[in-house]
Amino acid sequence: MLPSPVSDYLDRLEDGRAQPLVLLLDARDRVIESWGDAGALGLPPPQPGHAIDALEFIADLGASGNERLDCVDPGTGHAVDIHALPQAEGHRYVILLSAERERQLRAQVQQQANETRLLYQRQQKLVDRLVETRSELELRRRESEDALRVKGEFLASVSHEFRTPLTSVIGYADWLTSAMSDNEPARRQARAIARAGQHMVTLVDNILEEAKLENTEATVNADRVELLQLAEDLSAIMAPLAADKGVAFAAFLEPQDVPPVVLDEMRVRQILINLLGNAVKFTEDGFVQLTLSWVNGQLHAEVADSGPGIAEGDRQKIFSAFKRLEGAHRRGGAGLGLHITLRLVKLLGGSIGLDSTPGEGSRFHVRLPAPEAKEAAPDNPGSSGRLLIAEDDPDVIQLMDLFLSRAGFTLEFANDGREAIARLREGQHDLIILDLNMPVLGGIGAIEAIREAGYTGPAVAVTGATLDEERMRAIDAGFDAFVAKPVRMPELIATLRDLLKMQ
Amino acid sequence: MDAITRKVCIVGDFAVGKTSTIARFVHNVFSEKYLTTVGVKIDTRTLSLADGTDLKLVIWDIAGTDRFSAVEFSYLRGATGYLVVADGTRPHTVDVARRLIGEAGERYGEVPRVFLVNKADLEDDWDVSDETLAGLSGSGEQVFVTSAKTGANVDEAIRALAEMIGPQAA
Repeated sequence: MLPSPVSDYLDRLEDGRAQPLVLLLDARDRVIESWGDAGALGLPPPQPGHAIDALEFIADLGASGNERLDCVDPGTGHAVDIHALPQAEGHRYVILLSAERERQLRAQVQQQANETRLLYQRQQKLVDRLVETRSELELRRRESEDALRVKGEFLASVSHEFRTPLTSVIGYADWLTSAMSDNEPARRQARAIARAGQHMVTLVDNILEEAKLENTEATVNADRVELLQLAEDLSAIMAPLAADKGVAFAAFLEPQDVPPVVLDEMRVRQILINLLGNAVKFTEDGFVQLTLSWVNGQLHAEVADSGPGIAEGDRQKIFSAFKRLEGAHRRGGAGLGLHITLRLVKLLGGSIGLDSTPGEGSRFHVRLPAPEAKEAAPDNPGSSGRLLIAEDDPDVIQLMDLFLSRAGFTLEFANDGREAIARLREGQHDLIILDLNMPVLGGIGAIEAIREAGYTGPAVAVTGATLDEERMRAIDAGFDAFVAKPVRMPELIATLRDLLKMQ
Repeated sequence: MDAITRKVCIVGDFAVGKTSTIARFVHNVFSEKYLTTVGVKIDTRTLSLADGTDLKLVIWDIAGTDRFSAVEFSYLRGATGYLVVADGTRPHTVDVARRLIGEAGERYGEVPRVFLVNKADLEDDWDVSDETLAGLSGSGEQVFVTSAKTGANVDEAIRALAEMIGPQAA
């Protein structure tokens, strides 16, 4: 039978539960009397005159009136609701009601809800990370594009720095070769200088082309090309290199009377120079042979050699950038030639194939279709005119003087764009040639001013930078033609005559 | 001499590792399984303080805030110290902990406390910045980066609180 204050209290509880444990404690929390089953709540049997250690934490409970603590696990693994009813002389009734069932029910629901929230938070975090990663990737992509652009500009600038002096090296070597027709040893030495210069031009071209193909939407240029001239030019470059190694070199055009065709000449030259250069480089004895033919509007080019050949398993590898086969390292080069060749062939819409027998030799065959055709006009070597040339490099000035004067042009030189503008005002000129990269005022700024002043004659841009954007910028600014350094004098002369003929 | 007894409450958002921290401190055990706490669970451990005093900590492990209930602040009444816990992989739990401190202060005044940023073992998932930790320290909190899983800094944090509340009772 519970004491009446306790039974009255329990009667008033809305959630009154059966089988409470009731303790009457003195002012020092020692048990005076107890009712109910302590063991059912996981507590030891109350000992009159002793405190219950597990309930030490309720020392202050009920100090200021009836008080309760809900859902407490006093370390027994069994949750209880604890009610304290203060009595006279510091005594208290402490009622413990099992809350285990309610705890388990709440725990079940709460656990599920909390796990769901944790899952949601983790998901949210992953989404946040994904968004962050995407924006980082976007940033990296932009940085990478910037880096590529800077690299391209750097290469273009370096290329310019190389091309300007190479114009002098190759030009003067050519000049010496023809000027010293009666001195064979000197001619050979001059040819050696030209060859070394040409080798450097090939390297610069390859590196620059790689940068262009990486960076830009490369465009195809349609030039009028004399295939016989092309074959002769390539022979002039390659035959001495082959001869130095005791390798026979031959170039054929089939048939010999092909009329001028339309091709991206610079790139075709680069493709063939790369293939021929490799053939000469790797062939120790025997022959290297170039055969050009024009079949159904396509250039067929075949480069055959009696070199070491290329094993079946290596045939894909040789077209990769910076990949070089065993033994290739001691032969020099950057490992870019065939990689760029393949990319150029693709750019021109052509195809390249390889037949090879190790130990016997290789045969590269290239098919290149003509780009958008333009009418090939007959050449007129007799025309000439008054030229104004703005160029800051004295060696190039002298070289142009040598070749262009001999070709019948009347020349006037200016050292920069501003001087060119002044001279143009003073005299009559049929054509102007402006270097794009000059001190005081460069070619672009000069041509803009010149066009604005009313000059309508033809203008040719000369530059060491050969990026397509540079070319487009020059044409947009008012130039009619674009010639890359090192300037090949026959090419320049042909361009000048073409332009003057249109007048 | 009998140990001095002090009531300490451990508070924080749900699933920050309050129960695991106490299990590590009192029983030196850890379980990977997350079990939500309902109501409050009492545990005790006696420590020897630096001055040789024995201090019995009666630790009230109070259910974290969840979608069904706010923290039952009446459990905090009479506490002499708080262990405030946040989860280093969930930065918002630092804000929840700060809010709890503020509300407890409004009800019961300032009480000595230490701040535990738990789950230091989850390095790849760690998301509380050094700036946040510095901000906590700068605002006067004694901050411990802890791991209930490895036990890292758990004893140190609770002993630091014990030293703060022990001498007052002597």
